Amino acid sequence: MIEFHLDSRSGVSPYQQIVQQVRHALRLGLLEPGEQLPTVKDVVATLAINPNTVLKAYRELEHAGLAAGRPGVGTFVTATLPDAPLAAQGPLRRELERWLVKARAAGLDDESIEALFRDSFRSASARDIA
Amino acid sequence: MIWMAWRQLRTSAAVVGLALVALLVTLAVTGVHLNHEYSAYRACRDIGCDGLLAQLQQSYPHVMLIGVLLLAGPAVLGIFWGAPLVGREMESGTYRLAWTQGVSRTRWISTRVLVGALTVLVTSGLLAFAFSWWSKPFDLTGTTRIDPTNFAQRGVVPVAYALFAFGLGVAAGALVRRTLAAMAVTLVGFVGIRMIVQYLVRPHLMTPLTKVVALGPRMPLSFKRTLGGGLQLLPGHDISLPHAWTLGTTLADASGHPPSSAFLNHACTGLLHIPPPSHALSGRGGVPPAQVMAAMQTCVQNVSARYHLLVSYQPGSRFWAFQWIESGIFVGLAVALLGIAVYWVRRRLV
Amino acid sequence: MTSALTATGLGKRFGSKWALRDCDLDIPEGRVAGLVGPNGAGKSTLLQLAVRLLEPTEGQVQVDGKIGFLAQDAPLYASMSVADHLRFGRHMNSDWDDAFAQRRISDLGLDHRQRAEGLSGGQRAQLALTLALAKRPDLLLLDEPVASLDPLARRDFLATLTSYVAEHGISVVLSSHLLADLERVCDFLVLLSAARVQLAADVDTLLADHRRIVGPRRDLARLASDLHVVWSSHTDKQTTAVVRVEGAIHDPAWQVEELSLEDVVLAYMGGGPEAEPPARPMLGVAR
Repeated sequence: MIEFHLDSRSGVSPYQQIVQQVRHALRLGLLEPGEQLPTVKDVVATLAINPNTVLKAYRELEHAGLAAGRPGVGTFVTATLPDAPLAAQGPLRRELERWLVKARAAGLDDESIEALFRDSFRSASARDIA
Repeated sequence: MIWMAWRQLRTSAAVVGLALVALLVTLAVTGVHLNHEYSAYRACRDIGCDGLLAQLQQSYPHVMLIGVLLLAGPAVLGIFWGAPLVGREMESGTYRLAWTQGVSRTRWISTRVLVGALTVLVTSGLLAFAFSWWSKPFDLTGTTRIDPTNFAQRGVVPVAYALFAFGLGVAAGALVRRTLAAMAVTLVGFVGIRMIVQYLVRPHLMTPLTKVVALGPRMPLSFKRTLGGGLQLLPGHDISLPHAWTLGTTLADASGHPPSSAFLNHACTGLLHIPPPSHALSGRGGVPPAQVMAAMQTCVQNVSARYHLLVSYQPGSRFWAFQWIESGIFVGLAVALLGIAVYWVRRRLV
Repeated sequence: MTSALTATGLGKRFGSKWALRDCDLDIPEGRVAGLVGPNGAGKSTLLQLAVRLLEPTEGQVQVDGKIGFLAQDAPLYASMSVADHLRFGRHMNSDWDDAFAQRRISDLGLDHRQRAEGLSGGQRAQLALTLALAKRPDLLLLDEPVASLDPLARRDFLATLTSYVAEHGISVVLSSHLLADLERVCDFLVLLSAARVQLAADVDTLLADHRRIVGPRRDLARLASDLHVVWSSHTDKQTTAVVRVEGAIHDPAWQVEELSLEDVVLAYMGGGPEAEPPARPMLGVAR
């Protein structure tokens, strides 16, 4: 059974953090199909958050096909993430590493690299939405 | 709600109760002995009777101090049981707990007032009754019951005073909403009203009686100089009449008029030439110069030819009438004040 | 959807000062609603009107079902014991669930005979909460319940509260200064400022509808019509604004960021997170 935590300063809403933590656990293999997710009551008692938050997170996981609720029992993992685990992203990782070398050669420090990445990521996402 | 009202009163009631039991036991034990002394005096037919009387009248001076408790008690009960009733709840915010726990405000205030009033009634009633019973041998052998100090310690008025103080305390607490301030208001208000009634109202509850007392050489008089240089004659001290409450003494002629300054200047010329301080020249005590004595006697002789003393008083037989009337006044005030408190809590504390 | 609490034109005046004015509010049931605003904004007044400790000067407020109330600073009878307080609840309420109350007291590890004045702040708050919950209310109102508690007691209290909500699904309205707590616990937000309701909406909606935009200095009056500026700040080169938007923001000149609940509330209260120096309290209003 995994345990959730909340980062109140991350800027990410609580329900999204729960969804992300489940997905992350799935990616890392900490959660496997058939395992039960913590009950709403337990999560609420530990984190002191609104029960609807947990319900919403679990519902989103259900819609994504990652979990299913069994009335009276709890919510259970039904699948792993369809995309391959990070470990298998060899080519993408190597391309990234090459880009990083180029960025450092151009004189960018860590912060500039992050800023450049985030900016491009956002504009690309915005283009996707629009 | 009754449980709650009692629970909040319980601790202080226990303390008061213990003290009360101690006082009642003291009064009971000493009172029985007093009654024996009194019976012995009454049965006495031979020479030593005066001695028995003296012995009786000097018995238990310390127990008599319980009378002081009866004077202060009502105010204390009002302050410590009345003022915090609403005042403490408002101050500490616990009214926000009590009024949101399923009981209506009306029930809350009226139950607490009734339980409090009943406790005050029982406490003051027991002590007043016991002390009145204990004092009987003294009252029957010379103590003036209707005299203000004794009056307040006997009969039913202590209960009425206590209920009034309680009502005043509760109303003050409701209006002021602070315990300490309400206590101060209660104390001041209680003393003020008590004094007003005692000195301004009670003397006139029934028309005072008047007694004529002839001026004689032994009748004490003093004189003083008025601003205009004339004379004013005053009784040396209030004449005391047995068992009566003396209200005042004046000089008057057959038609009730006081002597004019012209008459006094003429009748007491001898005194006109004597310099002040004139208060030392009363006809009793001290060692006045022989000349002053003579002048004084001439003056009294001349004045008594036309004037006598008029003593205004309330007879001891009116004791119970006054007790009931004054109790009625104070209980009426108590009811009005408690009514104000209930109204305030129900309608105005919103 | 039924309402837990409905206020129509609700107003309360003390002397010549209006503590609350023109309050129209509809809080859906089953929510944990947070009531925020600066000191003196009318939060306590609103709660006390709802529970009938105060009578409205104008308008009305209506609640369906039983109300439980936890007043500010958790008032308790100092010289009465924990057991006495439970007994008091039993005597005063006709629908008191004593088994529940006793269970909670033992879960909390409170000594029955301990007098209320000897309890810690957190224990007092928990006892007061027990008293409010044992009458099985449909709506629970809490007036700054955790304001004076240390962080651990605060967390415990909120955990107790949310657990109860998870189990019984009651509606809750709680007022607080601490926005970080509210973001975890509340799914509905009411913002009061200057005796008036400035905001009343689902937290999810608020977060979805508001964005912070940063870009080169601009005259905000000429923004797209579906962008409503809530707050803005300009330097000589840059403009930052918090906006309410109904769709996406298309203008590429803007850098668009999502906001925390705290950011949204602060924007509506007139100061963005960058506008105030960090030393100032979160919702303080200088008087």
